[in-house]
Amino acid sequence: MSAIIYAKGLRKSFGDTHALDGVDMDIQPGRIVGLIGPNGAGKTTCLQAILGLTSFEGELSVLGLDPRRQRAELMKNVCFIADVATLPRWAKVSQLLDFVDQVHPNFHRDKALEFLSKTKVRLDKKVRELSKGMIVQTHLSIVMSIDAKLLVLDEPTLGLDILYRKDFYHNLLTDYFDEERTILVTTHQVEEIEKILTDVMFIDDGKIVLDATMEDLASRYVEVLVVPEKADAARKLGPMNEREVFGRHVFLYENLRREDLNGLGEYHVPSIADLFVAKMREGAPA
Amino acid sequence: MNTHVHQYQALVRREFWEHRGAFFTTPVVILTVIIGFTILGLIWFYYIAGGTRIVTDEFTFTGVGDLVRMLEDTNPQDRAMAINGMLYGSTVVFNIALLFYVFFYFLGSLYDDRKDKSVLFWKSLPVSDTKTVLSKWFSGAVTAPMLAWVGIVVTQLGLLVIMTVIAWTSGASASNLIWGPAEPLQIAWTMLVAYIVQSLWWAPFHAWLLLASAFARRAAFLWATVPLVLVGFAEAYLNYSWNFFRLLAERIGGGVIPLQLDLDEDVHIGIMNLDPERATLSVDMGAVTDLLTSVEMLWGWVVAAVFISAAIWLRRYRDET
Repeated sequence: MSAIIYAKGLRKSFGDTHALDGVDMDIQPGRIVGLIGPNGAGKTTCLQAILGLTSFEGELSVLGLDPRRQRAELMKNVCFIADVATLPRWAKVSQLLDFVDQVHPNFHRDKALEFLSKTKVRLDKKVRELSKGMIVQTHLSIVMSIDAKLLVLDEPTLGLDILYRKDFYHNLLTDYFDEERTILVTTHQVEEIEKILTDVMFIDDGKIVLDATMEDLASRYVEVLVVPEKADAARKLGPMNEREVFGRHVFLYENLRREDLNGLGEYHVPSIADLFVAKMREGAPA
Repeated sequence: MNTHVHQYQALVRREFWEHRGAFFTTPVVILTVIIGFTILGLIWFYYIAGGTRIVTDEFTFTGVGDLVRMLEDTNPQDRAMAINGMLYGSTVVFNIALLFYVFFYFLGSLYDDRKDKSVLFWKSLPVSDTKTVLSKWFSGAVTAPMLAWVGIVVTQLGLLVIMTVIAWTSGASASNLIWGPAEPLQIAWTMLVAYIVQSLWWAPFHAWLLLASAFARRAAFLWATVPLVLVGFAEAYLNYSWNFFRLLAERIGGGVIPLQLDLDEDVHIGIMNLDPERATLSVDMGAVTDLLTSVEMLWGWVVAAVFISAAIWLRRYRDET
């Protein structure tokens, strides 16, 4: 099976700062990959390189094409929502549908109309007359009506209220995603996408610091709630991170045998957010 | 092939949607104002100034009837000159407005969508940047003048209808007095050719604006103007000459339509012939051919091609963040 995205040694610098510092990627079809990192870690630059929106050094192939030279061709099979509310404000919703219909060989207008009919968005409204949430719904309706192999989402729900955010990912999963398709998504609200991801990548300082499937995560990482009396014993096992919650100590371990946990306390798979914090602290000088 | 044509159509239509206010509403407003003021003027003559007498050395004037009679009394040549002169006069407003709104259209064409980030939406569609830039050139150089041209044709018909009504109400023969000497088709044809030739003449000017628009991160207007002024002054300072400014003035103010700046006697670029028999202007196709094959025109296209290629390159490779 050929990779949807294959990258080796992606580099890009803005002056002294390395936005991308040797990024490797191998994303297979049918995955939902979360690219997670702090602000300025290189998430957006990475996505822009994949979409042919920025220059970079290194090897990169997206759907077998070179995004630098074949961007227009690539866009037949790649969709993206970069940032919230990028739809042109002067356009009517119906004009957007007409335009995309005319330039995009894989767009299905009737599908978009069906998606839109479930929202309050009216076709004769101009984008500037819609609320931010409605603009995102419009954009998503268009994107979900395109038969694309790869969908890239860069903070697609930033600043939206919770109802829209929930719907956004719900619609994406139920009406769009299938094993033929691949979704690459970045967001600050990790908790919201945690349950839909199949893979997760952490990026920090332009480097990929973690690249794992969700099953991997479940077997590699464990979080244990320890009563204070047993904290010293837990520390001896070499946790990645320790924090206190309501008087109990929470330890996060990587590659710990389950036998060693016996008697320490309840354990479970850590949330991506907790793992992320631990990973970032691990990387940062204390 | 077919999909390419389809995409160009869609792109040109998109520009029209976005710039409907400039491309469509402006000509409509101009024609409404011209026709409106003409009608208001006549009402003023009929009702308010009905009893007023305007007396000059040559004629006595007491109302619109006198105007008609005056027209009847003049020789056919002068009559044709008066009517067609008035029709041509009405095109001037369109020409000047067009220059301005096309200027600002180009200035924003590759800049506004980067400013409001909608470029990220446009770039998510399988349309090449070459097509995008060329469709914008086409919209400013062809769509806008063609719609202005339609405005001109409608205005002329409106004015002729008004004149006809006046002739009737004054008991004169409209077909003799107005429709005989008037040359609306001739004028429409002349303006059509003139607008096309003008856009070709202005190609480097338009392309420069596209380039500035693609280049600017902010203040596109300054990027479009300041470098030219600097080059002009640099030449003046280093070489004590004004050739660059002269070149600009001839390019923008020259051509067939606009201000007819004829700074240099050698570069004469008119395509109109004055027909002394019928006292009308007509397109001199020989002059059109001469102009289209002139060195100045061809150089203009070379420069335009360079600027447009640079604009496409910037549109393609400039980082959007």
